[in-house]
Amino acid sequence: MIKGKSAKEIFDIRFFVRLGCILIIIALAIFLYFYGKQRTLYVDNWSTEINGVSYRYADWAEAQVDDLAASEYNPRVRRGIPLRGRTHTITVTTEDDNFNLIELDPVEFRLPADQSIISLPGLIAGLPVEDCIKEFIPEVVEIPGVSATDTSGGEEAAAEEDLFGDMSMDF
Amino acid sequence: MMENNKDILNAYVLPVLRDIKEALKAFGLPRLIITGFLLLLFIIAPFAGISVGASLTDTLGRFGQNAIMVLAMVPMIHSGCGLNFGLPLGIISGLLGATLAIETGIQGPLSFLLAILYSTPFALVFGWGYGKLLNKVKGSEMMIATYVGFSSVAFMSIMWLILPYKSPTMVWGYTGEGLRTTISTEGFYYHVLRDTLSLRIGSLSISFGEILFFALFAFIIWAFLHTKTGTAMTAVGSNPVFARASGISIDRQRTLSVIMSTWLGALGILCYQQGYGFIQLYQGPMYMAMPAVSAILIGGASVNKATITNVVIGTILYQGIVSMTPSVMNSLIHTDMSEVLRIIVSNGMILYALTRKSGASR
Amino acid sequence: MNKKMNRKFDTKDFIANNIVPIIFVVLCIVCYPIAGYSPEYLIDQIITRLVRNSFLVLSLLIPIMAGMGLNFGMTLGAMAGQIGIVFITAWNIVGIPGLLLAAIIATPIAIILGWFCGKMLNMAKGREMITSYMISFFMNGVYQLVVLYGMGPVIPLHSDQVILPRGYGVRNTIDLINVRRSIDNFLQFNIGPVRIPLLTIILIALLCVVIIWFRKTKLGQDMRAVGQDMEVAREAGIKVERTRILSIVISTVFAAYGMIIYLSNMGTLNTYNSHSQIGMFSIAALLVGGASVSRASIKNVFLGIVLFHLMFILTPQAGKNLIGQAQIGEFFRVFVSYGVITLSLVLYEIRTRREKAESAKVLANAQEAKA
Repeated sequence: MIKGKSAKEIFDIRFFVRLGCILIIIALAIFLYFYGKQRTLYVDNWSTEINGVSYRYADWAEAQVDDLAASEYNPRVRRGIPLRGRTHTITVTTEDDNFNLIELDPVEFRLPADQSIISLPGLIAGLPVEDCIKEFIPEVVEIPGVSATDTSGGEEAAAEEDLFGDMSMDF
Repeated sequence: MMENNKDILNAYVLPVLRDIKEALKAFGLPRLIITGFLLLLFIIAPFAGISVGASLTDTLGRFGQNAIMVLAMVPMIHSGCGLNFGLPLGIISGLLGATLAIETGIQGPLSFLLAILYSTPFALVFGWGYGKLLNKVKGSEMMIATYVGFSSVAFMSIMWLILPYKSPTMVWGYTGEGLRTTISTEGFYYHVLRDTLSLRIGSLSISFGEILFFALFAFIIWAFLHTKTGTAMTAVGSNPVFARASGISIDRQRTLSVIMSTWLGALGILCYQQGYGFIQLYQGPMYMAMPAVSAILIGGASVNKATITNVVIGTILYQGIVSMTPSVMNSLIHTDMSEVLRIIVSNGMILYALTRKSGASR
Repeated sequence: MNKKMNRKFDTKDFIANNIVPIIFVVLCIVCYPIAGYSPEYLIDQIITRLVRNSFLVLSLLIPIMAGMGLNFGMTLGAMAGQIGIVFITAWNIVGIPGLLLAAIIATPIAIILGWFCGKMLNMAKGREMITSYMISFFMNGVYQLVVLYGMGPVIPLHSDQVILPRGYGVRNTIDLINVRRSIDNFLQFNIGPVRIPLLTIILIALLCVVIIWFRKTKLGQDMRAVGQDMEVAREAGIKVERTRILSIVISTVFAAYGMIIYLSNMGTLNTYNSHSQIGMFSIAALLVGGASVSRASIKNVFLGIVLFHLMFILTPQAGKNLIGQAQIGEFFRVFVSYGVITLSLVLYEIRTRREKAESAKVLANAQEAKA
């Protein structure tokens, strides 16, 4: 009774099990991609201009991202923090002019890009966090006479260093 | 009228087409692609601003340098030892001869003769041992040959450091001992063959010295293969049972073929050095068997069949591609992919030959 | 009398069958006092290298079981692993999730490459080893084409860490700071100065268990049958070609995982030569452990890695202390790796031929007796 059908049925089940496995693995891969991705957040204590208003740097501030160790920020200090995942919180502590400690409420934020920058003066001024954080685009400083693309020389030198060929590599 | 046409088609055109098809089949698809590719390169070259004369000169020069190393494949294939992946062993005998010749300090063309002379005993001894070894491992010669080549190169790397060479042109300047990784043949036998009997027509220059030198050895091998010993060797390769039945000592023929291959390898590297201008020690000979092997395969040889024609055609095709691709590619797409292409083409060719069903199981 | 002779024969046989490990033990004993390393340092180094390489060497076992000899095509798996690593480094995915993702990326590539390799080897029965060796050379060209010219314009990767400044092609060496030792540091503990990376050891043990279990499965049995005699296996209804391809595919996939573990432990990727080195050294290590072309066990793997790496650590230092040149030691260990492969292959061939001749003699005697 079952004999005629079973082979095909088993095949079907196998096919769907395999399909399911592949889908689960793809889902896992996508999850890992987002979960494991490391982004850098630069916490910045420079004077800045947000929506046309300038904010002066804080004289002293302490910022803690997630549960990582808090670090102090003096004027014109910028530090990069490697972070995993998208959503994080930041807790800022600062002083007013009379040296009273002010602890700001922890704010939750999403990183907009792989390299983001968050402005402490903006946060201290009470701006919404979305305005204070933006993508970090490193400024390219061009030194006259030095071409930015001229790195081939370095690689050639590295190749020449390898006098006896590549057989002595550490295994 | 229609009928007539059909007759003509049947009588003349179809057989010709069939012949062409047969010929193409015998020629092999990869070979056809490679030939077509080379022709394409030569057609494109003038449009890409490359002088055809200069590229032909380059191709012929490389042919002269490499042909003898390709020729070194022939005896071993004939005796059924397969492709000589152990060519580095022959090359090492050549290197020993070359360094010893330079050590004597004798300059000029005489040093070339001296290098051949010095490398001969090494080639004979190494070839004899190598042949004995291969007789013990019939059936998997190629794998073992590869590793014999590699281990001998690694062993000689130690030797180049230790051997008491003194000539200041060869040893490291600051320690005074151990040979340099590359030694110039300038002042010794640099271009000794290339500059003899060379003919210049515009940008094209043909060196008959190199070509004649190759032709001489090609002729010797060809003649040898037609002597009694030569036919015996071929019999050992093509039909060992028959060979044994007719009283031929298989092991002796194989050893002889290996010695010949090794010696030709030594000669080949000397010929290469005189054109290239440098003696490459240490890692230099490691992978030198691959171009030679793939050249003879491109020329139409298989794992157990090879002729002098295969050597000539193969070397011209292989070296043509090697010398043409970089310049054409560079001027067309400003990227030099030639090295990678060369790896793919040459190793792909060896792979093709190895996976052909017609080859004897070896 | 008979017994005595038998015993003497056994000793001789033992030496003849294990000549390679014995040479290595002697070599290490000779080099040890000359090199003058402390035992703690050596043990730490050996454990590091053992966890670094075991997975790779273990991946060689299954094709040997299927009678396909030493799988020089494991290089293909290593390439797949490297491609996975390149991707996660370019995407900046860190830690164990990164390595897991690299493994997921590498798996389909390794399967395709392994399938290709298996197909090719089926076309070259009887000369699998040289063919797999040439496949690794050939695919190396393809790999370079993909990595050196394809990555950037064709395969979109934009990362200064990975891509050359010219805009395409992967750098010669990539710093894997994001994943360095992330498997090893997870669950690591110390015994004195010796670091023991527990998770990696668990992974390796798991693979060993899988291999032992695999031998007992239907497929494993089929593979052994194919390895014994292809024709007999075919008559018994085993799909010989499919079994052979599967053995290579499994080996290639394991090699890819092994490469990922290896690279995360090393912390740097030499994009253009890590994989070819790994093939040679893994095979040499397996042979040093006393394996042959047709017979290899897990025991051989570990013994081989320990002995081979002991030699690897000791010889440069010994060379330096003895002759004053570390370079000689470096060359020496390369020579030894190639030499070991040569010696094992030659010994294996000689032994097989002798056995064949003996069995032929036995057969002839039996027939004579019958007549």
